[in-house]
Amino acid sequence: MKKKNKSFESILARAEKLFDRGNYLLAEKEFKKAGKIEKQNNITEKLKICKKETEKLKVKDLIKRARKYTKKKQLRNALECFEEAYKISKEDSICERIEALNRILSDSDIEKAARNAEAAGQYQKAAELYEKAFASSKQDAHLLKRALCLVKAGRYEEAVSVFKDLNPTDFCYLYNYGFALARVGQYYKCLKVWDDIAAKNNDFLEQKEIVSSILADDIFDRFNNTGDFARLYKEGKYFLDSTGRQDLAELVEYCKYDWIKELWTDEQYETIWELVFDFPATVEPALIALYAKTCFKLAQKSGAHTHLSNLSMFWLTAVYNRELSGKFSSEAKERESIRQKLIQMAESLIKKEVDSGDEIAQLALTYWNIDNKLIKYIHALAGDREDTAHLVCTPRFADLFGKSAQILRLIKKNKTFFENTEQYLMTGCYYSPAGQSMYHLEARQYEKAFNTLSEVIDGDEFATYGMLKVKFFYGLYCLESGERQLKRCFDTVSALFDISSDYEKKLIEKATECYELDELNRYEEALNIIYTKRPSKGIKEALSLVMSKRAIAGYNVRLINNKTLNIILQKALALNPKNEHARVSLDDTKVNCELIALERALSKHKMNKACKIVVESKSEKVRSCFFEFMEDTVNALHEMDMEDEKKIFFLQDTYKWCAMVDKSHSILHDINGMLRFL
Amino acid sequence: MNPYKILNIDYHADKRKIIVAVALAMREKKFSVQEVAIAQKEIMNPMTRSAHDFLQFIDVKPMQNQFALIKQQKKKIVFDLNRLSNFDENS
Repeated sequence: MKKKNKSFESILARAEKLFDRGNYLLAEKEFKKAGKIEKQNNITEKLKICKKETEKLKVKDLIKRARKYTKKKQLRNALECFEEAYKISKEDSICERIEALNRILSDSDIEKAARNAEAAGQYQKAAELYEKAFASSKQDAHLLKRALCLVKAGRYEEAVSVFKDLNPTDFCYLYNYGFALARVGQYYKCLKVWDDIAAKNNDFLEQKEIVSSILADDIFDRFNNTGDFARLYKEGKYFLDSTGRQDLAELVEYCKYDWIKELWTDEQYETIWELVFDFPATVEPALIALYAKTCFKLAQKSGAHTHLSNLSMFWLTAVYNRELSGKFSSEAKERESIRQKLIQMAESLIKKEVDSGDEIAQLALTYWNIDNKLIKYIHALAGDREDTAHLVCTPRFADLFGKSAQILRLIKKNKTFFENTEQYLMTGCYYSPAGQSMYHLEARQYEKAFNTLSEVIDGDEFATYGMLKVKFFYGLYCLESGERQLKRCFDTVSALFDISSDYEKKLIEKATECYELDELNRYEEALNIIYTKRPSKGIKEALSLVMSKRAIAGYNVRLINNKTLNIILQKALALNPKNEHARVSLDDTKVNCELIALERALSKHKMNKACKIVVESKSEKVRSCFFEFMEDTVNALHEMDMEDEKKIFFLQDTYKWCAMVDKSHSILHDINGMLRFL
Repeated sequence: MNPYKILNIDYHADKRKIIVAVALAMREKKFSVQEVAIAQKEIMNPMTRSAHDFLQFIDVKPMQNQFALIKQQKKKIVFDLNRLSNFDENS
């Protein structure tokens, strides 16, 4: 009995010890042993706890193993572990993991089956399996594989419908997508897709060329059967650009104009402009009209002001075009009235924008005014003649379509038509290579005008005139703004003065109006440059005046002294003896110089020198200054504490000096009185 | 202002059609009475109508007439493309 009790107690004690340490597995065994010896409630309780804790540990261990299997991609083993764990714990989270694993295993099976089918050449079946795989995976990769299998199975339409929603980048998919497109007749799309394939494989390039040819045939067919000109044009243009072949060129152009007709009805003027912007070498009157009208419509649209400057170029050319204006009316008078009405419509359009303060519109108006004036001359010269009517156009239009040389010949031939040489040269100049500079000049864009001056070739009189005029006005701009380009601008200006003396007058007028020292300096430099080449009376007088004005301005701010001033004034007078400004200034300067010399002589008591200065001077001011000094000295003698003898001696000297200057001056009488008194 | 658009008439509309179009435009009220009146005035005056004819319509036929060869049918190339396997390795 004693042994039994001891054994039970020791087993229980060991069980309790293991329980406390958390070793529930061994504790459970010991509790079971103890329970067999003696049944106790607390042993039953402990056994329950041990069982529960042991199960928990088992589940934990199973999940751990399952995760390890998942990491190693051994999904089936992982699934077994999760299932075992779920049998024990019945936890929802484990159930979810089991379902997920089952799904993956099922997909994997489908994908494997799909791959096997594809490898076996069963593309239709493979496509179906990939579709199933996609249904659960939602991965585009499965769809791409499906589409590829559809292509291989020859089911091109289905393949296209799958590919079109995807964005393949892989060359294999791109090629097969393009191939499917070609097989369903979408040659243009096929080529566009194939353009993304950088590979230069010969077979592929050959196939691309075949599809291009088929596209060309297809465009021809569709052109005869359908009216989708926009599409035909786009596809045809693509064909021309990508192949460099010209066999569709005319058809593409034809479609372009049909499309333009549709765009005009839909008021899609921007697109029309883009289509016609690539100007051809020769231009039909109908095309001129199209340019003009599109520009007009675009200019009408707010925010499309860039077309305003093009408006004058095309609009005026169009309304003066013989063929186009011939349709206005059969009556010449009425035709002219309609032309003027159309001109007025465009001018109002530009002016409306100018009124709203638009700078581009202001520029456009300047261009308009030039073009409007010039085209009238050319129309008067050539408008009614069969052989020259096509030359009636604005300068920029002429330049754009290579008509400038013919127009210049026409102008030269009809020199007598113009009122004077300058009008003749000016008209020709706009049509010459200097034309663009002239437009800038008229728009007061002096720097731009100067910088865009083209080189004058073979003494071209029109371009030379333009060059001279631009240089002259840029020179005036430099004179006002202080730019240092005077030599380059005024070196050639005498030739311009020979054409018209108005320019010389303008320069002289501006020179005589300036007063600022810096500006006077620049004008003097410019006039000197001109004077060496063209010593005309006007230039000489202007230079003389500017010189004297500049000298005085410099003297006033102490930049030059009396002596220099004197020299400059003398030079100015030498240039123009009638320069009153220089003369008066020189006289004043002389008096000032004499006064300074007189004061210096008197202060040093060099009386003979002082007398000489006064005698030689013609200035009353110098004389007065001398006698004022003498009177002050004589008056001061009264208050001086000096011996009479010395006073007499001093007065006699003073008398002598004053008499040297003026023997009849009243001071002599006063000195005599004082001498008598003494 | 496009009187043809306001009155919803075509290039060839005669006086009778214009009057009908004016009445319709007034009834539709898509444009103001003033706009319709101006459009009518512009289109009834031969000179202003001629100016609008120039501005509002385009003629592309002269450009298209330059292309005489467009109607020529080309011999169609037989469509016999075979799928290339060159790219399959990349997939």
